[in-house]
Amino acid sequence: MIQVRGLAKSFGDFTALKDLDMTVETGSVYGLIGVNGSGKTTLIRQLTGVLRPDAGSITIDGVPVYDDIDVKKRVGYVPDELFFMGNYSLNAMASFYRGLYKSWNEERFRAMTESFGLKPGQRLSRMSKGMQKQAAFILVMSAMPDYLILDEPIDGLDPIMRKKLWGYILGDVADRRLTVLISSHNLRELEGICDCIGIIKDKKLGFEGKLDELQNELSDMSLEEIFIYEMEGRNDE
Amino acid sequence: MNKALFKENIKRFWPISAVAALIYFMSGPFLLLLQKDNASVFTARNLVSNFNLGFLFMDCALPVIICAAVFMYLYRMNSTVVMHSLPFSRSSLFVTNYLSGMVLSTAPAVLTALIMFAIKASNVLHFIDDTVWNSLPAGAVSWSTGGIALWLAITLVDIFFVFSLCSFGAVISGNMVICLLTGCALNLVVQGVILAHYAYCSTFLFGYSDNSFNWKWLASIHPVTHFVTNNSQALRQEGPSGMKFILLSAAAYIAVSCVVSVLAWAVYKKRANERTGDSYVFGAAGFIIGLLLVFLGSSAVGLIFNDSFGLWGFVISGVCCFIIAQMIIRKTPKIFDKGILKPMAAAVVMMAVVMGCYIFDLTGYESRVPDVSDVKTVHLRTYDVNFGFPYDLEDPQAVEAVTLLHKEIVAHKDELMTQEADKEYTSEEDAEDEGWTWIDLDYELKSGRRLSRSMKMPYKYLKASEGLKTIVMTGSYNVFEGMVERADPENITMNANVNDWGDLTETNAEKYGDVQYADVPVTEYSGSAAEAATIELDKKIAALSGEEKIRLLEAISDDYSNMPFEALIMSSPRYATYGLWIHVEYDDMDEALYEQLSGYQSRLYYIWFREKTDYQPQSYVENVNLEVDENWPRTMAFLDGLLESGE
Repeated sequence: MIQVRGLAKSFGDFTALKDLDMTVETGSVYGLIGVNGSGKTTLIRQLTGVLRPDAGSITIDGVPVYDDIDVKKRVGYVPDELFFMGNYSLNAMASFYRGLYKSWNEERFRAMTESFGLKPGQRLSRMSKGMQKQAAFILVMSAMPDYLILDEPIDGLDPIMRKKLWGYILGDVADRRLTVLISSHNLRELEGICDCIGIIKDKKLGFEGKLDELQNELSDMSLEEIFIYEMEGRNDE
Repeated sequence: MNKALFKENIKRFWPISAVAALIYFMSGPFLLLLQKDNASVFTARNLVSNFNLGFLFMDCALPVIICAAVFMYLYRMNSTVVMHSLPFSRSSLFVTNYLSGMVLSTAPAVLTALIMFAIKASNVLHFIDDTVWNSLPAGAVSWSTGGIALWLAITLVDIFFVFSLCSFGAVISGNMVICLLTGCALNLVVQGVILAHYAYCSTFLFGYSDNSFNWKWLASIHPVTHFVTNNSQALRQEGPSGMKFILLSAAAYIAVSCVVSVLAWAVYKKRANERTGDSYVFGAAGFIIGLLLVFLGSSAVGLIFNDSFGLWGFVISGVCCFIIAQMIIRKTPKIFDKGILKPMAAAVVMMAVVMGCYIFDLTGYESRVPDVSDVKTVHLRTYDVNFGFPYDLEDPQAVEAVTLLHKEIVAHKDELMTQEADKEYTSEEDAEDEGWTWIDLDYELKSGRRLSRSMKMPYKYLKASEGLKTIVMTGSYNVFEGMVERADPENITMNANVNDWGDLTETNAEKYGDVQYADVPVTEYSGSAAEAATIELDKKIAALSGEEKIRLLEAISDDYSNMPFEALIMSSPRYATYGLWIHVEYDDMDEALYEQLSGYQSRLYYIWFREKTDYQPQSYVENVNLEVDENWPRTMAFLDGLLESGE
């Protein structure tokens, strides 16, 4: 379980997050949504240990995330802006990841590479943006993480690849209780896969809860309608 | 340390090290192998003595480049995010990158050393001038297994030091260009600030003495400059004890490098990744570096153009440097907002302090004269007074006379500084007895501190100085007076000229005998060198008997004793001047007397070349250069008689 309590982060004079609480249950698929600049990426970068929180705590299964190697080994992260070393190929990156993650699954790596139709010896820098995204997913999923954090994960992916990708992710959720946190503006896609959502509003989590319960409460509104309602409607009320 | 990342770093960046290894090889071992059958001892010696420019360049450049390479991921947000989200702690990331960087930086030097070991062991080199090795003292660096090992050790220390500073620069920098510049700057900044301090003192502080500035110490701030200068000197002159000096200094550099590295590690743990892409990721770093840029930039420009622009040079260049520094640090030309107020105020305060301390002497440096009761000894040197004879005084009355002289000079300080700035030096003015000279004072205080001053004065002030008169005219302060009595007539040799003392410094003791009887004519001056007439005096002086030589020395001594104070302050010769070199060998010279006489310069001077250990113990040679004028009547009569007897 991911638990965030009283989280705050500022960049100079600008406050990005303030007193944010969030809970992501183990085995759930959690959709993190918010308007542009609401602090989703800032929150995710703190969840993955990239940024140090100014205040508050972030724990995974009760252990603080920041600077803890054992916790980070259990977390897979696909950022919105990808990075691969130098002129590395997928194989070379896999070799690097293999040394980092004891849980590395070679069979999964080969299967996904074949399924996505990537050439493992090809330089990643020469691949298209969509192919690079697939490569990032292959690497992260082959590390067999317990927690998967995705920041705008499906940008640049075609519908076929998206379907395959969700198949792998949801398969892991079902088979080994993978916990997934997804930040995306593609609310229709999220609606189909998320069981929980959190909406960042005014630098904190304005709403958090199970999607079906929320939909029941709000007369089967779509996630997009719920989002607009949460951001504007309740204020108007 | 993370093995996977270590391996990846080596795999990614080994080509940089390979190129560096090639440059090391081409700069050193390859040169030797090219010469093979007629190898130069000097080439080989330069390699192991840290004088090879190719080696030195790589020792400095490679760690800077490698450090920037291994920490490159810190300078783009996507790489920063991915690397920090992988299963590393900040410590393990820093340590792994640091160690892999060190391995990549040092590997080329280690490889080069192995090649040199192999060349040495295979005996493929045939030196054409190997007698040079024999002239080196025991323990000196030579083309040997030990010499190569020492080179490797020193090179590793150099690289470690440079790399540690660069690693600190890397973790505070937010982009690659700033990382490279900061790495270089951190390696130079301390010496730069010290040099600026020296330049300010020399330019603005009346009485500032070079004696208080230790150039060796400046070189030892950084191992690269230290091992190039002090190291080889220590080895050449001191042999095995020089080796101890090297090892101790190497240990000190290693300790400093360790401290800097730990500091870099601690800073990395606090690194604000959200500021990736900024010039500096810590506000304090940008602030301090901005101030340093203003200080060094305005100092350099202001000091260089001080004669033309005076204070305005510092002010204008300071403002320009401040604006440029802020633009670099904030990465925008739009710097004029409220955020600029703090660094601007700091820069103004800093430059005000600098100007106050150096230009307006708010610390009272120029007027400071120690109390007699605080002085243990004082060393006084007056270049054009009493033949430049140096005084080491500890008698309170003598110290009081020196402090009186010092106060007399300080009383004229403002006037002297104005005059010196306005003065145009001409030979006519010198002839009119208005020349200037230097006076050096070096107080050793009872507290253990030193106070040194070097002041420029016109002769006329010195002639009016009661303090100086007391010192010069008190015979007991004057070692020169006993010179004749101490000299053994059998050991006195004289000649009129010796052509080039510079050559003698490279001549060994055996050859010295040949040079001192050189058949070189003495020159009689009548105003200008162009009108000089040559007189064959040297053979006549060389032919003098021991008694005649003693008589000549007695004449010199007698003339000296009767000379009035004013005449002991240099004035232009009224008519013909004899240049006379006298060599007096002392059999009983002790070290204290040697130290005193070794201070002779200018008109009456003592030259000792190389180290006294190169020669027979207690066999000292004194060279006295006397320009004799009407103040030397007995000496003139003796020399005139010598001339007449030859006509």
